[in-house]
Amino acid sequence: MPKANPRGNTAQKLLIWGAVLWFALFLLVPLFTLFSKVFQDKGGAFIGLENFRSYFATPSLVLSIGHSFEVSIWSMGIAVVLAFLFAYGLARCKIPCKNVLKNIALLPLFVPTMVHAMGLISIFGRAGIVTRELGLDIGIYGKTGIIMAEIFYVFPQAFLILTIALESADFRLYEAAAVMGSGPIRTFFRVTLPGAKYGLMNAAFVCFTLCFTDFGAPQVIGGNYAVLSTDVYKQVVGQQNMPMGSVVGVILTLPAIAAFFANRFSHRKGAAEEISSKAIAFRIQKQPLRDMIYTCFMGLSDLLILFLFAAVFATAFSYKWPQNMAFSLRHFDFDAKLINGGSSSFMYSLLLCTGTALLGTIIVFITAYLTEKTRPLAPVRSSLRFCSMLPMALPGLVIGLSYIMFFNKTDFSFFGLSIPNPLHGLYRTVLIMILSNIVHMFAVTYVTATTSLKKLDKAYEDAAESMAVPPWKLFLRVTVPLSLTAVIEVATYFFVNAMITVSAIVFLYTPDNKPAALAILNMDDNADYAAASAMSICLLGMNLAARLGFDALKKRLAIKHESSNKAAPVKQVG
Amino acid sequence: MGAFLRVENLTKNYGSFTALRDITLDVQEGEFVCLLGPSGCGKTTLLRVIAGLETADAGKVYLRGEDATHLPPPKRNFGIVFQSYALFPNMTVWDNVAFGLKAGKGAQKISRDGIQTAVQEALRLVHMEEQAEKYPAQLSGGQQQRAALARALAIKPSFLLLDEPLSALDAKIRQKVRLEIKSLQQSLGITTVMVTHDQEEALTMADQLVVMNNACIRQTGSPREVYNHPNSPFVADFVGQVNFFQNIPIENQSAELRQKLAGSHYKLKAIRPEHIHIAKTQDEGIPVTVVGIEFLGSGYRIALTGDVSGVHNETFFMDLTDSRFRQAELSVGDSIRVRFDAENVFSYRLDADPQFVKAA
Repeated sequence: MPKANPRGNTAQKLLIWGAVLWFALFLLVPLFTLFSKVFQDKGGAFIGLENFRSYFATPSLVLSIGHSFEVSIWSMGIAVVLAFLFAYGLARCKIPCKNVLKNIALLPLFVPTMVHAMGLISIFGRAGIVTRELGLDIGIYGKTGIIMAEIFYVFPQAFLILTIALESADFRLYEAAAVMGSGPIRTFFRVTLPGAKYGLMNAAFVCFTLCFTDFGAPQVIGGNYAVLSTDVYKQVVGQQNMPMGSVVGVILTLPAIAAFFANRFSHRKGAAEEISSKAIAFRIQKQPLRDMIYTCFMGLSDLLILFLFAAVFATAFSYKWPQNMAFSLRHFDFDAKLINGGSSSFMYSLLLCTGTALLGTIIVFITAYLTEKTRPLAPVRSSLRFCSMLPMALPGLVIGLSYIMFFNKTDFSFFGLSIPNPLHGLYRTVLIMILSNIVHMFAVTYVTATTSLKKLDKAYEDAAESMAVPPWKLFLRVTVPLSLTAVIEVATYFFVNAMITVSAIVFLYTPDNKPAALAILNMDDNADYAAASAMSICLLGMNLAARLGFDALKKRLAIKHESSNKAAPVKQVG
Repeated sequence: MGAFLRVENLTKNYGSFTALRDITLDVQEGEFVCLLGPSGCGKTTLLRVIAGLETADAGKVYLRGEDATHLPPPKRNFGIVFQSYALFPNMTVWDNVAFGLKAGKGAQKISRDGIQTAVQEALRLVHMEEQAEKYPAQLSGGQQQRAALARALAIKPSFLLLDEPLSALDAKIRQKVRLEIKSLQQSLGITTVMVTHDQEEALTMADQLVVMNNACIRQTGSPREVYNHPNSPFVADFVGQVNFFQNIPIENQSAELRQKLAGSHYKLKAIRPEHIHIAKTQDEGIPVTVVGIEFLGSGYRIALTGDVSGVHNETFFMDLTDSRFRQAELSVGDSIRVRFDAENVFSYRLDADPQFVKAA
């Protein structure tokens, strides 16, 4: 019996294969190129595990593995605890000006991680204000500095995840606990913590992966304390040793992939414990003492973040921080600082971010639509789902590194046959940076898109089909309009993160094609912290402006949709 | 082949789960067919295979005698109403109804005026002209249901598929909409297949009732036939109320019933509560004890125990009208005698539906 699918929509099938091609060319084949490089010498001859042998025979390189784990575990532990308290304050306490407190704590998300490190240097560094004025040297360069910078970096991510986990609790459990005479401490350990278990695990996973793979902060503040990510950079850019760079890249990826699978596995197991739709939203009760303690804690957290940014501002606007604190704009004369990519780098950043947001949103939404809303080729679609989530475990450096290896090849040889690389033309263009960014941020945006699409009634597709409406018309007339909020959220995420990402493009930019974040890195390499700070402030400004713009757009579209719904009196008995 | 719609030997598996097993069914033109069964019995899958939204693993679908097994849904020319209605929330009722005419594949052929007229006509049929400019969120459940029906009818379908169209409505409105749909279907004379798990809905609306369980059709027939002559313990139990007994003692029964019991090889007996009556004399029927009385509004349901079959003290039910109940003046604990209505006792093989056979 032929199993020809009557809904075998040819266009959908083509798109699905198109998505397969997209992942093959821009994710899988480059990764494969990188992983195969590990077994080659500099000339490209196969040498088996020789590279690993020489890696593990070099103590200075092996040391970095321990370093990476050490800073990541410390940062993760501290950040998750602080973020849990902060999230608890947001979700479970009566706090004045909650939104202000929350938004300040989100500020670190708008700048590259290098900036957190630079702020710390302005305060605790050799020429830092604390070091000079108080004569207190805490030894910021190295482990301490990296951990502190990473905490600033991952704190907002962790508290966002945990706030959602704490907000989605079922209040009936708390009422039941109270009725049974359970005290606050017992309730916390028996109800609150177990309820937030998956949020905590997820937050820990995200924090660990982000710290483990971060490149900006260790590069700026690490000093002689090498970690895996800085080793990759050193091997590739400093020593032009691609095979060894790949080996370090692979070692950098493995724990992230392990964490990725562990996290996925635990979630699958926990799926049954999901909160029921009948859950009652948590009702916050007033408790003056608790609320005061949390207000103080949250205020203090925000003050620390503001202090860090203030240090960056002060460095940027002082004539020479901290010796001469006279107001000066001389550090903003970027073209005098860098031969290439001074003020022009903003234009490149704008191009890069707009391109990433535009192209990325389109690709992510189409992929999400194909995996969630179409029916042909089920096994292919489930592998698309896997490919979409995989970038969560891939460090930006590794994606970038795999891209140079794949795209700078002029031809491939298969069994003596030489085939020219059709994508070589992308090499050294802004497009390759855009693509690298999109792949780097694919998982998070894909989750946002699928979550939104899953909320749409599955019967829309069936209804349209019964009316002979082609799927693309339904997609444009119904699916996209109903997903506008998610579309804008995805675009915002792409834009803001393309602005601050260094790792995915550090190997791909050219002197003529240098985004602002890399200009900051260059200035920092030249030890010009003041100019780097000045540029960071401009970058922060651009990002905040973009975010506010996107938010305004979202609000306008949302109101338009809602007001049309509220135009007439609501219920009529039919 | 005379049937308007015919499915033949349909089989559908989802992995190891069988959703349809060798289903054959004829639907005549203008007929209202209800697919009735518990959840997971395959009724929705059958509807979706008829629609072409799912493909069966084996078997055929014929429309007007022509093989439509591999015909894509748009070419089958049906209208469908879903349980969730699936109205597009970003469009007004008017735009929802017009969507298939404007964006559908045959759209170029319809003039603007043609669309206008068709939408108006569809809205008129369901009495929704006044609500045309509203968005779905502004409508009550019943109105949404009618809007969905208008959208399904606007494309002038040759048959109508209804997937649990009433189950999202309140009980009162459900009864009203039930009547409306049925009379609309009759006035249009449109062939209709409806899926439901509600036996009352199915009994009141269907011309032909199709009772399904475990991926199979258990019985087809008019609602009357199915209710009065259920062919299996499952159907007897699912459609209406029923008591099961394994061995009804022959002594003290009416001659008619004695004859029936003695003449049957089938050991599992079933009788509906309304076919059990209070005995008129002391030597008629079997002795039982009243253990519970439920007030149903229009009458009473009496729970009884007695040694009816081999099982000691099993509970079964008898329905009484209000006047009969007052005549009898029953209260809990009373000992009475009841008799069974011989012509309404059903006989089944013990292994027909083993779940209804009680352990002795």
